Formats: sequence, structure tokens, C-alpha cells
Amino acid sequence: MPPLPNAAELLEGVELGNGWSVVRRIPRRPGATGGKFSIPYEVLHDDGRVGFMKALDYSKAFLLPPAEVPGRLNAMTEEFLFEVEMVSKCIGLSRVVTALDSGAIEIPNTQYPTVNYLIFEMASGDLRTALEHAARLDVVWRLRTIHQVATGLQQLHSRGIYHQDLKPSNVLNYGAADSKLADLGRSVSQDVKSPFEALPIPGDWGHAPLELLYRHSSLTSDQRRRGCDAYHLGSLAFLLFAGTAMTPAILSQLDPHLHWKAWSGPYPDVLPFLRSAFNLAMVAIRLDEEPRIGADLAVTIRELCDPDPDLRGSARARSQGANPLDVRRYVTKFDLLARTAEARVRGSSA
Amino acid sequence: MRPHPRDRDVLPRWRRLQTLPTSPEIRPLLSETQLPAKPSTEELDEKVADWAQNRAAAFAVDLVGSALVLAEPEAAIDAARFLLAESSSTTSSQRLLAEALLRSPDQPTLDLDAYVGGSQDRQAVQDRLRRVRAALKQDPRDVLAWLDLALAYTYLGLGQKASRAIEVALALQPDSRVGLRSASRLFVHLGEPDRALNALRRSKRTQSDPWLQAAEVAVSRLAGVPPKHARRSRFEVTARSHRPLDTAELAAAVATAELRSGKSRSAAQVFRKGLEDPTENAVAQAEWASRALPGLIVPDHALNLELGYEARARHYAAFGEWDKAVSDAWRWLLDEPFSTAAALFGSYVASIGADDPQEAERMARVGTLSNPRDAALRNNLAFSLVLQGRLQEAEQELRVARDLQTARHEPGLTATAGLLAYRQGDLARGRQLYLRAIELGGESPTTDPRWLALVWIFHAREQLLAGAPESHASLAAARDAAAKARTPEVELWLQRLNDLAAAHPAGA
Repeated sequence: MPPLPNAAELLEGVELGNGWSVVRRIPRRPGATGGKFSIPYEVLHDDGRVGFMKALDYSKAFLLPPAEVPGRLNAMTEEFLFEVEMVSKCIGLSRVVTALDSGAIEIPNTQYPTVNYLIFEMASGDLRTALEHAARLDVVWRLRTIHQVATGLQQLHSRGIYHQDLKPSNVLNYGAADSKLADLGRSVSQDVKSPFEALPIPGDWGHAPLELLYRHSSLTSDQRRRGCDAYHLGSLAFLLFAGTAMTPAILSQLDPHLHWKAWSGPYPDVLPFLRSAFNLAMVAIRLDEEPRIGADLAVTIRELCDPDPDLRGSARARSQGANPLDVRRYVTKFDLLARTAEARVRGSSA
Repeated sequence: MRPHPRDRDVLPRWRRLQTLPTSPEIRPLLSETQLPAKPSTEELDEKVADWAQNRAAAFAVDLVGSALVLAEPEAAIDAARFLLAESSSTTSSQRLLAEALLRSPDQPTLDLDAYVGGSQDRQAVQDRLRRVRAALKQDPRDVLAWLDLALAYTYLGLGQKASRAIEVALALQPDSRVGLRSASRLFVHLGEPDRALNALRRSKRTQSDPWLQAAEVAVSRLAGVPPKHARRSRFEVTARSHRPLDTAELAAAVATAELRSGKSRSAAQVFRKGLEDPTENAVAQAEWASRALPGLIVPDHALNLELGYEARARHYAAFGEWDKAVSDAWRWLLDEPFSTAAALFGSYVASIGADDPQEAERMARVGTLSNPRDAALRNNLAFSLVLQGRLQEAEQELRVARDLQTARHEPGLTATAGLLAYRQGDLARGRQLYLRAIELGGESPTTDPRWLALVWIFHAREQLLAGAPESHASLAAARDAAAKARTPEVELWLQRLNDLAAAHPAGA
């Protein structure tokens, strides 16, 4: 008997029953991380809105040994429902990608007939596609983008959600000057248990803060959550101006003998080497055309990405007894930098 | 000429920062070791797919970055090459990332050969100082930069500034093994063993860390106090609760203490423990001790350890292989340019063993850069200048040395002044000074018999060359002194003296 088809692959032309119909399967959209377990479609609403649909693909679970299949199916469903819950908590947030709808559709005579789906606003691309035009993107655009990212992060924090997986592919672009945070699948919430909470690194290892890669043993919960988000924010700012994420930039300056895979000692013992590599990486943040902005930006990135989690964030806030990792401070900082750059541009063109 | 010091302690090495990543000194103890995290490569697979769909720099760099972080370079070789090929549109950070990914993991750490010949000049060190200071302006919490700054100041002989820099490093990271060992080495170098001991004993880590205990044992002797953890240190060496490599220097330090207290048999046993998986410093100590412990053989594989310059230099010198001894002495000196022991040893083996006063001068000058007030080094420098016939310069160096000297330097300086006087044609003064040097040396129970024999030999040699009537008596005295110090250099110069005497039978 031939194997039953995979329901998640058979959705083209299907009416979802809530005004949405599936137009076509699309290539893995940039920004669609977690795509290993989902299939992307373009969907169209009766009212003319175009959406991006993420259809949960259970078929990979059936490739596992039979004894592991039920557990994997449960885990996938749990992860999906968690994301739905997180997305629903974000309704009304201007800098977070909003879910337009979610639900499940039955496709009979398939391997696993129920297909869960989530529909989002369709983006024009992610930060990587935007950076492909980097030569044409000015300082103002870069600063405004990081300001929007910081705003999105702050909006999430205000709802008790820590993103934990902020990276270029999770910053989606809507038009030329609008960026929003996407993919809350790896996030951690203050009041909902996250399926990834127990993982040493919930998000993308390629962008992970150093203290998580090196398994620093004495991190507070705030350092794990806010500290990780702050680091990712600084890393994105670094990426916008230096062209690479912070963690690989630091590791590229580090002797390979001290790479986290080769290091088995306590974090404090490797920290001086990481700081030294961090300082070498930071040399890349220089804006010859805007030295003042470049210097302020470098200070801000240094605060956000300090390899020592005890020193990360605002030293002034720390000395005043406030939370040094409060993102609101950085929303203001990036806004100020963007405004300064905008004023310069206006001044020079006047 | 002053022979290299007869004493040796297992003081921590203090090297250029570039050597640290491969040094066992920074590795965790067994009890501190944790397994690395087990990575998820799901995102890497996605980035490979994204790169396949989007052959553009932003996707290439995302993939290369992840591959570098996950140490999976094969996944991104293509993307890294793409970034390097697109050099006009890629940033410097992106190129660095691509180069790092394509680089062999076995890159050499530090090519000391590039330094041989004495490029350790003041200007180069000052340039480095400027760079480190600028780096510290950007990040005053950079512990390694403070250590580097301290090292650069030490190279320039600026001890107070070096002390301040290393105190900042210690304040930033009070329990850093590297920081504490570097600080103790610096303070000993500056003649402040008490301060070194305080730094070590202030840290809780010294109670449990054999690397720090080794330093504590060595520094305690120099400070003239018993080690605080003597019993525990002895226990750590034998208990095998640590890897042999981690206790190698502690074993050498404990063994040295036992050797000094006359327990030769036990000392040899503990030294052998330290040689099971040694550091080069432990090997150098064993090599040094093997002259007093004939049963202690330092195996070849230990002598061939990376950075084991001192052990090899000592070994070659002990067997009269002078060119090799000079070559490794150079590396030792360039490995630790501030070390007076290295400069004294190098200039001694170059001028006395290898008969190469120019090389001896160069090594002594590297030493005086860091130690401008060291009378023994100035003496070695003056000696090498006399041998080259640069008598005025030698006289000037001797004057400087005289201003710096303490009682222990007087015999050596007097002997060099005697040689200078002979070469200046003042035979009576030369004779008088040599005899005075011999008298001064003979009065001290700590005088090195090698030195005494060589002074007699040089004195007799100068007399023979000058055709002095007393040369036969000096020759006999030189032969007597040489009989009490049968080392390769003494044998070498005695042979030369005998050859000279044979060629000048009237004088003899």
C-alpha cells in the first residue's frame, strides 16, 4: 500500500472557511525560521488582504522511530499552540508581526489529516534582503530600523514576553521603512510555560550570547531573558553597521582553542579573552562620515553586547538601582541617534 | 663575566598574550571541567537552504556566521569564498568572518624565530604601548590589555607603571590564575617577593589551585617564609586528584624545596612525578636540579616540549653544545625579555661557550632594556665589549655598573675591570684587579667554582699573552681552580689556556 500523502502539502486552492483561501505554496520565505516543521503558503482573504500562512507539517515526525512519533507529534502541537498563544498576546503591538488568523483544517485521506495553521501579514522580505541593498541604505535607515526593532522588543517586554531569538531573519520588512519582529516560537513568557524554556539556548545558536554558548553557570533568570534580548538587539545594531552578527564577529577574533566547543572551563576564566576579542570586533563600528553618531552608537552596542552578563546594559541605570537591561532606555537612545542623523541629512541637503 | 645564576625557583612564566590560548595554564582543573553544550544545527540547515536560494552577501554572511559559531566550517566554505570574492561590496567584518572560517585551526600562535636577533627594541615596545593604551581608553575593563600593558612597561624597565597596571588587572579579576601568576612574577622581578606572596595568598583560589600553589611555594622561599600550604601542596602532588599536567609545576616546586633541605632521594621522586606530563617550566626546573641529582634524568620528549627554550638551553650548555645553547637561550630571552636570568644565561653562554661576544652583547642589551639598573648584566655587557676590543665603551659600561653594584657584584666587576686593564696595556693594574677579584670571590662561601676557575684562567691567559713573568704561577693556579669545577666551559677554556701555554713556552 502506498504511503498516504502529507496533508500540509495539499493546501493549494483550499478554502479555509474563514474568508481565507490558499493561493499557492511559496518557496521558504526569508524569515520563516522553524520552517523545518512548517510549509509556507500565500493566502488571500475575501476582503483582498494577502497573507502568509505557516502550515504545520507533521510529516517529519513520522520519519522518527515509531516509539518516538507520538511524543514528537505532541511536542509539535504544543509548540504550535504556544506560538499561537504568544501571537495572540501581541495583538495591537505596532512593531510585532500580527497574526491575522489561526486555525486548523481537515484534509481527509492523508497521513495526519489535521493541519494547524497561522496566518500573518505578508512581508516584503527580512532584514537580510533589505541589507542586500545596503550600499543604498543610509545611516538614517539603519538607525531607524534598529530603533523600530528596539521598540518591538520593548513592546514584547511590556507584555511579559522575551523574544530570545532575535536575528536578521526574524526582522521582517513591510515596504522600505517599516520593520517588525517576527517568530515568537522560541520566546519565553512570564505567565505561560514555554516549550523551549529548559533549553540552554532557546533560539538560534549562531546568534546566541556568549554566556549561553559557554554555559555560564551563575546567570539570573533576568540575565537569561532580558540579557539575551539585549544582546540580540546590540548584535542587530552591530550587523546593520558592520555587516555581521556579534557572536560570529567575536569568535572570528578569538583563538580557535578558546572557541566554546573547545573550552570546558568556567566562564569567568575565558571571559578576558572574549572581552579582548569583543574589543577587536568593535573596531568595525566607525562611521567616518558621522563620527559623533558612530561613537555614540559604539557605546550603545558595547553596553548591549558586553560579554560579561553582570555588566551588560546601562551602567548608569545599574548605579541608580534601576534595571540596566530595560530596553526602554535603548529605544530612546536609538531614536535620538536616528533623529540626529535625520537632522544632519536635512541640514546638509538644505 | 657572571655565570648564570646557580639557583632557580619555579616562578610562573609571564609570556606574551598570544601564547596563552594554547597554554595549559589557562585550562580548567578536572574539578572545574564541564561538558560543552550540545548544539542544535536546525538553524544552520535552514541557512544552508536560504543561501542556496539567495546567492547574496547577506545570506552568505548569515550562514558563515552560524557555521563559525557552531564550528561546522564545511557547511559554509562556498559562502565564505563568495564573501571574499565579492570584496568590493563586503565589509571588513564580513571578510574577517570568511577568513576565520577558511583558516586552518592549527594556525601557529607565536613565531619566536621572527624575533631572534633582537627586534625587541624600545621603539617596537613603545608602539605596542600606545596601541594598548588606546584599547584601554575604549574599554578600561579589558583585563588582558592591562596585563599586556604591564608586560610592555616591564620590557621598558618601568616597574612602577607595570605594578600599577597589573594591580588594575587584579582588581578587575581578583581570582584569575593568569593574572595572579603574572603579578607574582612581576613583583618578584621587581624585587618585591613579599608583595608577590600577598597577592597569591589574598586569593581564595590559591588554596585549591595547584598552579597557584606552585607559585606560592616558589615565592615563599624568595620571601624567606615557609609556604602556607606546604603539607597540602605535597599531598596534591601525590594524591592524583588533579591531572599530572596541572600539578607538574607544584611537584617541581615541592621537589626543589626538598632538594634544598637535603632530602635528595625524596626530591628526585617528586621531580619524576612532575615529569609525568610536565610543563616546560617544570622541565627547566628538573633540568636545573639534575646537575645536583645525578639520578634524575630528564627525558628527551620533555626537553622537546614547545616553548621549552630554557630547559634546552640549560641542557645544551651542560653538555657543551654551545651553538644550540645560544640558539635556545635567545628564544628563552625573547620569550621572557624582562628576565635577567635569561639575559645573563644567554650572554654568558654566547661569550664564554660559543666565543661569540657580539651575540653576547646583543643579548645583554636586550636584558638591559628591561633591567637598566642590573649591575650583573652591565658587567656581562662590558665583558663582551672588552672581548670585541671596544674598550672605551666597555669602560663606560663598567662605570655604570660600578654605580649600580652591590657587594655581591664586586668580584665580577673587578675581574672584568682587570681584563679591561690588561687589554688597555696596563699589566700591573690588570694583575692587581684580577687578584683582588679572586680574593673577593674566595672570601664568599657562595662563590660559584666555575666563576673562580674562569677568572683564574682568564687572568693566566692575559698574562701569557702579555708575556708576564708571573704567568707560570697563574697557570698553575688556574689549573688547580679548574680541577674543582669540571664544567664544559671550564674545560674549554682550560684547553685553550693549555694550547696558549704550549705556544708560549717561555711565558709558561
